[in-house]
Amino acid sequence: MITITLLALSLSAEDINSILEHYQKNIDLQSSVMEAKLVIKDSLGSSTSEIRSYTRKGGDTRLDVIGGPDKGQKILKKDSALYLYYPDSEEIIRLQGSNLKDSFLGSDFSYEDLTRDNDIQKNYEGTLLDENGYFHVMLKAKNRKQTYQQQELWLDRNTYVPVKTILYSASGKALRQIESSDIRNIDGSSFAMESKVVELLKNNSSTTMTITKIELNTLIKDSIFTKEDLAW
Amino acid sequence: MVKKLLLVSFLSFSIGSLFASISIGGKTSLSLSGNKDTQISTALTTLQFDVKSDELKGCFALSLQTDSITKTTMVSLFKAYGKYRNGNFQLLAGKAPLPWGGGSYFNAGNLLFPDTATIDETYYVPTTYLVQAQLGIMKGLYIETVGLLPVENTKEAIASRVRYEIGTPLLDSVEASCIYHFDDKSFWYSLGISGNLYFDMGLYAKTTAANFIDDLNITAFAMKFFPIKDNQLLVRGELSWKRSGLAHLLMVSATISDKLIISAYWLDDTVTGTISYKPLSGLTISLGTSYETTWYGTAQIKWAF
Repeated sequence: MITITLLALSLSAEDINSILEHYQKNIDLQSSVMEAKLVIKDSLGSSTSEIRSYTRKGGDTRLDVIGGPDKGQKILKKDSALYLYYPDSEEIIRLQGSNLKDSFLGSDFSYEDLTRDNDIQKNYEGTLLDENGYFHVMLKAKNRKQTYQQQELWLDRNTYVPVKTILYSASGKALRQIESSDIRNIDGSSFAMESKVVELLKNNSSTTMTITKIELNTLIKDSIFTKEDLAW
Repeated sequence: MVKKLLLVSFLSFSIGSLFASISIGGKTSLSLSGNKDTQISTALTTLQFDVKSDELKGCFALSLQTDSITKTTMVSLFKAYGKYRNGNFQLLAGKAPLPWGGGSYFNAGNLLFPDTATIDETYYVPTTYLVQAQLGIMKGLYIETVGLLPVENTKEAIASRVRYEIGTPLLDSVEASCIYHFDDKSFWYSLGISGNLYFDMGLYAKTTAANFIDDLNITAFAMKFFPIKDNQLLVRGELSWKRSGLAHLLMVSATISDKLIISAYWLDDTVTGTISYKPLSGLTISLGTSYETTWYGTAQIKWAF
């Protein structure tokens, strides 16, 4: 009986590892260039911004605001540091400490979200809760450094794309919910072209991100990820 | 001199425009302010054109301002410069901002714009005519030399800054700068440090060799975001010490929603309160009041496009 239970646990562990490997494969890209529209809504109105993002393996990310009231603003995440460029004063400031908790473009993302390490298998321990309909997975952070100490995912069984994610604080409070749709296969990786982020601690607040253009594993110049280019 | 400088700027601007991306943007604001005795209405529009390629960049921004007292429209050049870069080297010529030091109101680290403090940094950025060369010597270490050109009200000066970006969670950067003013033959020196220790903070000091104590000015800022239930509270404090006395700014800003922000400033003897509402993309409606010896009110509509 004990042997059967251990065997079942062992199979379950292999399953979750395999699921996370597939999930990681979708987000583990050599590079990507993407343009997206952000529609930010709350009970007092809505606003729209357009962004262009550049990412490369290792986590370096650059975001340029190419449309909307904050047009010209640029953000660079490099070596775990985050820099923000203000076009009027042509000033680059390093975001750190409490600044990271500020909202990005007034959306339901914080700057801290942009600094998250995407290596799920390195940073989280996974448990498969259910596999009827979706792979229902709970991820628990292996260290206190992670912004979200728990992530609850509902992964599409064919594409391993999370159609729903709930992000939790260290105390177990649900902070954000992300619902993704319009899953497409692009160059062998599955991508959700539309994601809706709901800030669960706020009333009637949501951000919908729609990807309008995407290129995967494309060549991006090293200079894109430098502070000098941010101010250019 | 002015013509030559503008020629350099526009030449760079034009060369860049031949093979570069172009972007156009701007913002406009309508304000009504005053008390029961005096009222003034002001309209301000800024238009900016940018062109750039990998090596060249040009920027041209104009401000148009009119008010109910002078009843004239004043057109001023906000920015007009050409910029060239090659590897770790950058060269700029024209009218441009130069963000040295740190602090949104008091900033002893900025020797080039020492008396241009403003709370609303978004709508007032000081620019001047200059030639600037910047060289990245090694990772995080930059040296800059700037010549201020005697155009309009700018006094001729030459300045230099060395900045090292440490980039650790505790220490962000250290910088040292100096400026020589040709008119009164004076040298000013500045030292600064910024980092994070519970608060995001910066400390800057400037003085002259001739009157070290009398001219000494030390400024410091500290800021922190506090999440409170659904809202976010930003607290920012700034101090400026001179031998003549201590000046302070305390700012508290509460984000009730991403569309509604309530702010209050306490700057020496003046208290200001503002409610800003953003009903649509780029549109901000603000109502404010301030008190020094009498009450003063402001209503403003801003649109960024």
